[in-house]
Amino acid sequence: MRRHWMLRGGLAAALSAALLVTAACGGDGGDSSGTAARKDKLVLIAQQDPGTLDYVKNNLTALILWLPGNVVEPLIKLDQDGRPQPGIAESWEISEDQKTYTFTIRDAKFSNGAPVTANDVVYSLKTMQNSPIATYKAPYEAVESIEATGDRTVTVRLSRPSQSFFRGMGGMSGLIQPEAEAGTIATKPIGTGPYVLDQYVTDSKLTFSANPNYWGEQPSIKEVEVRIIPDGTAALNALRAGEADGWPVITIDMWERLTTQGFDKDFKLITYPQVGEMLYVTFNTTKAPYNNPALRRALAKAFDRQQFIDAFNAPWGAKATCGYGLSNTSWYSEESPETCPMPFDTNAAAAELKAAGYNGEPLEFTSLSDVPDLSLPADLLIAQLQGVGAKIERNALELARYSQLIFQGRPPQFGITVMSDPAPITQFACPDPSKMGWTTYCSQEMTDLMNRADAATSTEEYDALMKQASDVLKRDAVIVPLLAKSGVGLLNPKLQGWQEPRILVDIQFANLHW
Amino acid sequence: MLVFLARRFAFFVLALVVSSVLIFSLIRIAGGNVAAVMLGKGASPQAIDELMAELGLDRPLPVQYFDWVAGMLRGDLGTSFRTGEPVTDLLVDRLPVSVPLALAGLALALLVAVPVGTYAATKAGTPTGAFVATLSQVGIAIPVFWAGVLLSLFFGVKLGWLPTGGWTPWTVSVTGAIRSLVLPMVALGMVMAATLTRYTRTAVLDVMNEDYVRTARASGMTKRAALFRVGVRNASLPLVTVVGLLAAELIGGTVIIEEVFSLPGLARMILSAVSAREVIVVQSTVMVIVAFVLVVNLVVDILYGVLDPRVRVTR
Amino acid sequence: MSDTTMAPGALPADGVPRRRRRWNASLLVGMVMTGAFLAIALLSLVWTPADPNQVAPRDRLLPAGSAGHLLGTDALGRDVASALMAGAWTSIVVAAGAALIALVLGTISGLAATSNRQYVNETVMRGADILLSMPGVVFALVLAATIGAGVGATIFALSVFFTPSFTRVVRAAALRVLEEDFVTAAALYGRRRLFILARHVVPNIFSVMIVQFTLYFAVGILTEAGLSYLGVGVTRPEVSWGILLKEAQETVGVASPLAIWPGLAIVFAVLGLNILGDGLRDVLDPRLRRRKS
Repeated sequence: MRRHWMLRGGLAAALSAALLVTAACGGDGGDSSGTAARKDKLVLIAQQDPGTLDYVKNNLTALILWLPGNVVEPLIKLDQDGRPQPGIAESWEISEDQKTYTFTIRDAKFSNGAPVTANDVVYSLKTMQNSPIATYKAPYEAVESIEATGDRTVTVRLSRPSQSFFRGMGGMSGLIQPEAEAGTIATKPIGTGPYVLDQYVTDSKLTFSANPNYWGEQPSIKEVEVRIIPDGTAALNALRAGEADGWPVITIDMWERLTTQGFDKDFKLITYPQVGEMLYVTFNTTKAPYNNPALRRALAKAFDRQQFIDAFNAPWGAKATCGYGLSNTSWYSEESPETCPMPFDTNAAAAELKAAGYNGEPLEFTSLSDVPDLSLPADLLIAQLQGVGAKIERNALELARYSQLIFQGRPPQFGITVMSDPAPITQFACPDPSKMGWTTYCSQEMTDLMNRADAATSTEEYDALMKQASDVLKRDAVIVPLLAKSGVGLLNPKLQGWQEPRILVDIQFANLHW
Repeated sequence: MLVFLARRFAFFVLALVVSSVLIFSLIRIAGGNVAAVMLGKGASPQAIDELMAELGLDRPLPVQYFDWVAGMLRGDLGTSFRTGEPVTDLLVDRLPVSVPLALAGLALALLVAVPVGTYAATKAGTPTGAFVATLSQVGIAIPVFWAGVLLSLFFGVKLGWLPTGGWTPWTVSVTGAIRSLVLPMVALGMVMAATLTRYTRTAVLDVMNEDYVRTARASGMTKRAALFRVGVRNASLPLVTVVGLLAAELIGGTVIIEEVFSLPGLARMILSAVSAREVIVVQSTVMVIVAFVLVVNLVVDILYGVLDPRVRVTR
Repeated sequence: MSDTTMAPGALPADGVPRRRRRWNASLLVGMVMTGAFLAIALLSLVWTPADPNQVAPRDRLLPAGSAGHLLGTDALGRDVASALMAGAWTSIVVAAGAALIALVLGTISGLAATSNRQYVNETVMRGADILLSMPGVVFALVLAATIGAGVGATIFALSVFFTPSFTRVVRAAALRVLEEDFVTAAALYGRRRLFILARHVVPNIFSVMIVQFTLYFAVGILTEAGLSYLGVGVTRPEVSWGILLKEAQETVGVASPLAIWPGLAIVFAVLGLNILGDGLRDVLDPRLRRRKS
């Protein structure tokens, strides 16, 4: 009988443990008191943990979605149409030759109570000027000096007129931080925004509360929690259960489920160009045979953009395009596969490939293996290229090696690759052919157009020149745009005041209200 | 006895040193560096070099190695390059996920395997025994991540009873944390139980054939009585060794199951640190795990040596 | 992924006392299952219903039984049955490759550790002990991430952690043979050690090696799938069951049956090999059946 006792004892113990666990499951995780009970609070979902909050040295989307615009603010504000509006600089003067900018600093306070001084502004701009992030640093290219010329005035002198400088002051490059708190930027950044970052718990949450020292109007929602839920299903469940009020940036792998599971009906589905990215193929022009424009054009005709749209099965999320620039870019014009210089045509692609002297030698396609958003397009593209008779060797690299060989390679070590990013077209300019990188296209024609655009004295002139530069890029098939992916999100339908991010890649809490 | 202890301890230290050299060199042979990953697409080579120098990664490798080891001996595991957070803090953040998961999984496995394995042994040669043996054979063949995916599909997606993944910290909600751990724990425990059942069964069978059990039976005890009065006590000896070995398997299983359920535990920390080339985080975290396994082995071996004098001689 | 430090199947399948037989049920079942697995893998080299990497987004997520797609298609319209077949071959290349390398290295080091020179024995065995006491999966993970994804890298990572088990098993078996009278006689006759090892020891421990190989073949399949699932093993265009499972998990909310197939394939292959290993042990090597009357 003892054997039976033991067996039953064991099973009983297992069962009671299971019961205990199930009983515990009955309880509800987190607060789900419902949206009505917490008018003052907002819970949003983020999928990625930023890891660090140092926005000077990191351009992770997971970080710049939440900090700029809410906690730290740029020197000037660009409105929804890209027009400059007062920000930390309450006013500014631009000299006749457009080479001297004098900013008058607002009598505002940082969230820790310290006043914003001209020295803080100088410090902040110089910090960004030395940022390791090329796109943050870029607007300072023409800058000769940044000086405090009074308690509340800062003067910036340029070597030539520069459109990108003033635009930059309304973006990441113009974020203002207190010099005295420089040491805590990675864990507790301080700024002048409508919210204060209260707490950052790695892989768990970021909490914000209204900044009592904010210079503008106090926001309607006093407390915001950004809950980090890496698992997409868990995030959708949290929305369904009412534990969260919104999920403003949803990764592409979850898009299909938004419609198949009816989330687009029960929630407000928002799509917006900013935060979205361009998906494009890049050819390495430093290497044969990719330096042959005829070959590149032939291969570009193999790209069937509709396949991507089909694969995503979320028509509102992405648009086939062959133009560079998101729809919020000032010089953007609508493109469609029909207006492409190299429209999809397998027969033409195969014929032109032969005509370009291609004899079936292996072409190297480098793909990022640990980023699903990019390995999936690679799966499609490789099959498409093979479909027109190209022999493809796939070189799958994980991020660290990809960074080293492609992003940092001088000259870059790849043949063809696919990349996705929100960076402006200026990243393809070629200021110094000897330092040519993976996206550099050293066409004198394009570089001249971009330089002239930057030195333009009017927005119209800038837009026209940028458009021409982008046409060169398109014509030469170095960078072949495939898709413009939107930012996609879900919001509680009762939540009002959503404004799509336009200039900064940020989700602004201050406009939201119940 | 003292000689045995000294030899065993010397081996422990040697194993620690070898593993530390291995792990240190492995992550460095890999291409790519943390600066390139941190700075991303647009960074210039100069910016990368500057950041590498700032992080002390441009120093000669032996210097970096001894610096790291010296730090660990002082109890300093280093700091993350990306966040500037001490690795110790990162570990403290992650352990409340991984440790309860691993322990609960192990407990579940033992709870199932010991009674079932013993039962199967007593029923050896009968259809019931064969059935249990086959079941454990199938269980061994099930990859733990598949078990996890299926459980998450059924209880998470289909029934919606439990989260399909993700983590609610203990500090936010205790029930939430338990809910996040149930499915991973069951997946881990069940698959390990299969292996463990087999070990238990074999151990008990071995003991059943031992002389003292036979003597007990010859002296009039029933098969069952002999087994449970004399046998189980003695069978616990090889089981101790098995549990020591299982520690390694447990860690392996936990690594994967954390990934399946997106739990922010040690494994995900190591994975993301490897892909970001956060060498210090990888080195120190892996070393902590290795040290843990080595300590378990050390303790098991010493216990074994104390319990069974033959071990001391053969070692 | 199972462990890499021990083969769970390394114990007798059935410790019930029984007489040595030339043939048994385990052997038969194991051979049939493994034979089917090998046959499908070999077939995939010359024929699959479709190219496992051929995408067709317009025909994505077709259910099992659709025209031309026995098991349906995945999120990019790739044929699932073809991918499973190709995955079987990858499993074999990686797992059998790693087990084979471990077998060779383990035999060499295991035989070396039977040397009369104590320091050789000590070095080899302590080395094996150190590798065995490390959490294999964690190291394999770092190792695989280190040398980069791919078939070769995965084989390397696995074989490093398989070898010490082979070393131990081979050494133990070799020591037993070396104690036998005919070996002692050969030594007295003046045969050199290398000759004795090659001529007398290896043939006599061959069955042990085969059994060990079979069991680690199975462990290798589990481990390869696990590493590929984690994204540090094999990558496309190579197809692995682990990759298929990972991809399937991404479509879980949309098309759940996709996650079933690769798992079933793994269970079938591993189970077959483990059963075969048990059967082989019973037939080939009565010594491994411990204390059987």
